[in-house]
Amino acid sequence: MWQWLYKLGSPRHFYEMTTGFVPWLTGVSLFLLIVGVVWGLGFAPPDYQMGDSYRILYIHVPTSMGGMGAFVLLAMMAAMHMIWNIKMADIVAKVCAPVGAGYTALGLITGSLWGKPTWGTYWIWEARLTSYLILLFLFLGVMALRAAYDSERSGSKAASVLAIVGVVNVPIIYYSVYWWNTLHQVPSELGRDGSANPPEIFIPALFTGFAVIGLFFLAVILRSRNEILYRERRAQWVQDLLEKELADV
Amino acid sequence: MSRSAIGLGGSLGATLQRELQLAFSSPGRIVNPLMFFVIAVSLFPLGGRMSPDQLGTIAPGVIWVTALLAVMLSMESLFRSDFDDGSLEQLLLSPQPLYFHLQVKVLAHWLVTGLPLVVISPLLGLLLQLPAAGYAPLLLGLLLGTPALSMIAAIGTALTVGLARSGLLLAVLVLPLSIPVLVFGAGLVDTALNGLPLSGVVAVLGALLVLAGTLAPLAIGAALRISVH
Amino acid sequence: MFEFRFASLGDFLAMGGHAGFVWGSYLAFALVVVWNFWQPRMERRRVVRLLHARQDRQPQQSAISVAIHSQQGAQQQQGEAD
Repeated sequence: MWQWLYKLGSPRHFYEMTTGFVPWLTGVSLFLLIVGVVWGLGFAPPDYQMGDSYRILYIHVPTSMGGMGAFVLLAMMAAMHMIWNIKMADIVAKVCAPVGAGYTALGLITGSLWGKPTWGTYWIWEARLTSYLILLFLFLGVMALRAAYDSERSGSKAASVLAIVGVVNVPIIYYSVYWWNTLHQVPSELGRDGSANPPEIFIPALFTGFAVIGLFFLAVILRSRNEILYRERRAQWVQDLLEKELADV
Repeated sequence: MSRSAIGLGGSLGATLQRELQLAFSSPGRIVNPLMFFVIAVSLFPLGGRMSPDQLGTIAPGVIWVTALLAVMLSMESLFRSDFDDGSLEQLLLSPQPLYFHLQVKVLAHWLVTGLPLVVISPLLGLLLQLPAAGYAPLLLGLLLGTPALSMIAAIGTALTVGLARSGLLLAVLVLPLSIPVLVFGAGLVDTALNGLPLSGVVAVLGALLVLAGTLAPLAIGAALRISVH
Repeated sequence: MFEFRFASLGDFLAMGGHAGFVWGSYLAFALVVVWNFWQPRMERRRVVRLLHARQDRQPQQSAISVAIHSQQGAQQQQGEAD
């Protein structure tokens, strides 16, 4: 187990180990996604209060949670990069940011599309929504900071510091907006918790949930592989790989 | 032990003195953020026709957001000259603990840029028809909040000091991180205007200041090491 | 549990009057999923082309290129150690 993790830390091993894994992950994720979406859209019973608009849940909940999870992963990778100088951790941190930002944006878009038929407005300054908006800003800040540096090395370290500072801030931001809401009496009970839902509604969400997680890691792996090829371009194994690819064409 | 303590205290005192002297030798560093603060706040009533009551309700938010922007814009000067003349590199190499030096440096910067904002804020409250009950919490909140904002903004400044054009990037990095201070700072005035007890909000603002004052220097130090190399 | 909940295809597309919201959400999701597959594909093509172009400019003799690479590697390591 530990050896396996240790090997993943090396870009070459990461690349070689994921080569066979990618088709499997793609297949399983897409299968789960299709089952979950078809089930959720067509076969799950309508909600007795929200009617059919609740069907947005099947993509809203997993993408929102995925966005938050992506930031935690980003910060963990950033910390590993800062402390142990692991190359692979920085590659994952770098590619994690755009994918996580996409999920966070999706969570916000689907959330407001769900909000309109449910509460009659696209947006309220509620703790969870506001925190996700700030989370998106944090993702964009990390990406912008990395891009602003000419040197890959300095940019990666700077982005790592910002990611760690950001992850400390996210819970503080959540509680500050939560408190601000209690002062202004904005309704914060949205009644969106999946736990209260009957199994017919809940089970398709498990399918889309695992599908969205699978697709997240798939996107991270695919992007990481490109990043590895570029960064390790001087290594002999990459040269061999490219030559083989050229021969195949 | 005691000798090194005196050495540390002495060198921190020297840092403080040097920073203050530098600031007073170029008054723009003190005056510009202040002018920005006053001018930007006075634009809001001109941006829309509002009754005095309406102005009074947006006053805490407007003053706080503008103070945040003023603090952030004033940060450009925190490490810039030290970075250009190489004394930042010396600071990083010096045997003195970097942590306390950075704390003192940000504190000195706050004394010349942040504190004047606090002092002038009642005048802006007057311009924005802030109700009488709001002045004391506004002052207290800014007194606790602006140093915390300086600490947070200093992280962004340290991350971008090595870059050529950093102004907008600094805003993108710093503004999201300063939201908790903004929310509780402006919230303190709101709480007072609603006649609710203040002690809890003051305690949270104090806690945010302590948190920023103790954790931010670590991040600033790490960021400066990256920027200098 | 496994019965289709809508009387007709038209009903299904109408989503109980919330068609725009539901289908809009799923469309946004589909776009992101497609982008997450498409971007790495294009990026890989770009990287491979870029690296091939560089390889062509470098001497093809593998002994020389290995020597250059190891030298570059050593310099890089030295630079990182500083």
